[in-house]
Amino acid sequence: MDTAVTVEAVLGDGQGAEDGGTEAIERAFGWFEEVESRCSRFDPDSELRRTVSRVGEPVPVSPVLFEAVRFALEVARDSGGAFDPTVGARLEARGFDRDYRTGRAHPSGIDPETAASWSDVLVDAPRRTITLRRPVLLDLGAVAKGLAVDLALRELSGFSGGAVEAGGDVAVRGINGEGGPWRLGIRHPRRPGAVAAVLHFSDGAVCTSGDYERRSPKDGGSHLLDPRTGRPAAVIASCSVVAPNAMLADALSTAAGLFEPELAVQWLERRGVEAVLFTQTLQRYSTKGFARLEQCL
Amino acid sequence: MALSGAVVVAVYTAGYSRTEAAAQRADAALAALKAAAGTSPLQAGGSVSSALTSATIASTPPAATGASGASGSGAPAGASSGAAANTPPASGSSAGSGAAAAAGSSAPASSSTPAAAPPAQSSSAPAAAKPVAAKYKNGSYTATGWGPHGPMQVTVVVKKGRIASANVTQCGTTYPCNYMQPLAQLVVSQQSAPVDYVSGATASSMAYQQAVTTALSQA
Repeated sequence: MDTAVTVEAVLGDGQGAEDGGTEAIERAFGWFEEVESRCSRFDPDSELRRTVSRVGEPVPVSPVLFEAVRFALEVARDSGGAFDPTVGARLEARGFDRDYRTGRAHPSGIDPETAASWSDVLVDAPRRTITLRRPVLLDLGAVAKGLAVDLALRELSGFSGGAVEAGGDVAVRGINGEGGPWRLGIRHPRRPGAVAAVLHFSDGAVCTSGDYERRSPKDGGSHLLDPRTGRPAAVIASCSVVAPNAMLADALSTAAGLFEPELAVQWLERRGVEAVLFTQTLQRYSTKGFARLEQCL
Repeated sequence: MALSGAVVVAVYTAGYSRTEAAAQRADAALAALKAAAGTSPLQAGGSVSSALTSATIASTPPAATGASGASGSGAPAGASSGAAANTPPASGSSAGSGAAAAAGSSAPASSSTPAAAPPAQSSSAPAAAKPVAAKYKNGSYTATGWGPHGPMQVTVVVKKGRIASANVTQCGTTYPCNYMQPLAQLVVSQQSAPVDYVSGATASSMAYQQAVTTALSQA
């Protein structure tokens, strides 16, 4: 996932390191490798790449890949295609094609100009299969990291508190090391090192989709691609979503970041999550309940 | 700072290594999801939020296999291997020590700060944020935080047991350090490091957080 991962467990009264904290943290890290091996579009040996190489037939897949794809498709449907996990080949064509571990590209060979979309991906829950009606390269970048964060955090359920952070996706539970709610900053979209908001909460996740992080080596545009236009997102500089878990926050922040800001806020409010957005001109928009989480800067 | 109940047991910032056990856990953990797979709460008119909460993650029961995960070998490029392993810092320094490791730099002192935790509260954390009534030793404490944009030195001044200021005293970053002013005010108002983590930023970008946490560990 080309990112550093931090896992933190907060022990309660009477708990010591011998009470499984170290082992729990190690298990938590294991999920990242597991999810990556299933869901990476960069690794030619990943389960995802092996799955997309078979078109027109139901392919039995692991629970991790199945759930990631199924959830991505639900968000695609729910967002009217603003979020679309089939943009992989187009991202690949724009230069987002390197396996960060090796620095090498392993092209999928899938035509980026194909008219395929999320509706060409079918899932069969009872059989746990995925069927591609057309050749598509799935990109689960907005889902898989959040899924790994959530799975990792569950390993810390036996402690007073826990936090998992991976590349800016953060999920927490319980108390922080000072015995209070977790204090979570939201990166300022245009001021490196600065935060635009600070939130305090105990259970949940916050993920941010921003146009600042990765730039295409070919056209300099954002990695956030609007699947409806094929072009990088233009209006929203960053969108941060607070949700019960990181996979949801990750996917919704990516999808909403492709809307006009007013529409994004309405769409997110209808889904029962809180969010704050900043436009390119640093206009701020937020959901009605966002202020309840916020510590004034 | 006084040691007390809640203690951060460890912070690892590292890559991760593939293990068979992890794969087995994944299958075991997610097998339970099949039961919830029948109806999509989205399709049933529910929210995405409830869909995921109830159907996808909530039933994950990973088996404890004691598999090795991560903190040492197999670290991907960009992540150091276990640099912060077994670090028992104050909560606030978790991001800081992680930051140093992730950036591949050696942040002064950030990985050896003492465990510190004000009185633990019940596991049901308070909903509202309250400044922690920490007692610090009077004095002036200086530390440096590092990130991909360069180093930053912060001096924390403690008067009458409380943080009076936490200003940047040397700015080696590629961005202006007056960006940190809101965070400096937050350190004073909540009497602690400003944040535990930052969404949208890799931990390695938190030079100010790292410096404040390290400085406070001396206070």
